[in-house]
Amino acid sequence: MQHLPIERLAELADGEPNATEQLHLAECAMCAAERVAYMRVVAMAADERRRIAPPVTNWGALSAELRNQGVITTKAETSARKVFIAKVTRMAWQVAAGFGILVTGLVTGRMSAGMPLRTALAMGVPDSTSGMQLAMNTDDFTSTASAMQVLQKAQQDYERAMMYLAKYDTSTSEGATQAYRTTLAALDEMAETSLKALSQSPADPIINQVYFTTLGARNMTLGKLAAALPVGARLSRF
Amino acid sequence: METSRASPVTKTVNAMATDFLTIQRAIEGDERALRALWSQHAPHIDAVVRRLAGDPDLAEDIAQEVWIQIFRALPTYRGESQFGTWAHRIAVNRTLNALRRTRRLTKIETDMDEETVSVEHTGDQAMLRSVIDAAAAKLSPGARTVFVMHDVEGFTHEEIAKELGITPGGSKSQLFKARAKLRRLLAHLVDAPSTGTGQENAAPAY
Repeated sequence: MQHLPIERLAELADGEPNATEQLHLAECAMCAAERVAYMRVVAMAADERRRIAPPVTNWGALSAELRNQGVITTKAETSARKVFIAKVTRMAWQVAAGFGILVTGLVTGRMSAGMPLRTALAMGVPDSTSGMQLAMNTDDFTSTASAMQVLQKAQQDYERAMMYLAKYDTSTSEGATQAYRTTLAALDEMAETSLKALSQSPADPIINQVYFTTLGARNMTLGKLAAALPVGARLSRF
Repeated sequence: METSRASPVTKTVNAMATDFLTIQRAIEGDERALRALWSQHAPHIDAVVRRLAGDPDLAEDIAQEVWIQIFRALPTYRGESQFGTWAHRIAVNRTLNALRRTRRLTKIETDMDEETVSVEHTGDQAMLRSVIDAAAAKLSPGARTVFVMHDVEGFTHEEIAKELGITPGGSKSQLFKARAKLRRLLAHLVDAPSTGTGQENAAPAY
């Protein structure tokens, strides 16, 4: 009698025999017993999954490393970071609102000068507005890395848009300069808050990113404000 | 009265809500929350690492690395599966990566060594479980990994193939070789007592 190969019996531990094999297993006690033995091996393995064993890690060593890597933070640090994030979020909305006022002002100014609405809108809505909307929707992020990427892209888009406006937009309406002043005031407050937070957590990547983005945006807004002032006027306050 | 007889669904929902709050606190760096997650899940997560690593000292190093990775990845946990399932997946991936680094998985098609060990029979269930663990440690690294992933952790051959960079057929072949060796190593435990004498219990001489 031709017995079933060992590896086939091992496979049949959790597999179905074909018709020929079924016939053989019904007649051959040795192969049938072998199949049962393999089934027991598989059952023991499945039991192993439910086994509860003492951990091989210990909290003392693990917590020291977690603290070292900044995963465990002290209550003061946690609280400071929460306050910082809440403040920055509020200020980001202020900057976004200022930016919205600015765009509206620019579009209105252009229309009053006789420009068609479509052209005025096309010129007045820079790429950074879509970046800002994306950044406000926290559900769009899958990881901190993706959030940081969006943050960096938003910074680059904002700078590009401001450079474009500084170069090509010749609007000097009072509404536009007021909007720049509002944005600048909000950015200054953000920079000051970021700097305070940085002094508490100098290595925090998010706070660093926010700080440098704010400074970049502030410089651009400052330049644009100076350019938007009437000829001969000097920037003394905002 | 109703609260003391909460349905299984209610209990699960409550447990998930508690987990969610603990995870939120853990993301903020709260040590007590991090420790609570570790205490609750370490017995399972560390066991996965230990089984895949095969060596207790190596398992200790890898398990610490696994837990750091789990905690660092916490902000990406979106609650689509239970925390334990999510952490289990990270543990398997991270352990396989660590084993690759230590070159224990470089030759996945390693031939099975023919070393034989005797395994003492004992009726104690806990001992039975540790016996299969000890026997699996006698397998080649590649065969042990496939056996643990398939028969213990419940991965499919397709998933194993993807994780290890081999074909599903290669995974099956390794698994059946591993089972065949374990069947020999655990003969005293898996041979049916009703089949009679030792001669009759022996594996067929194919």
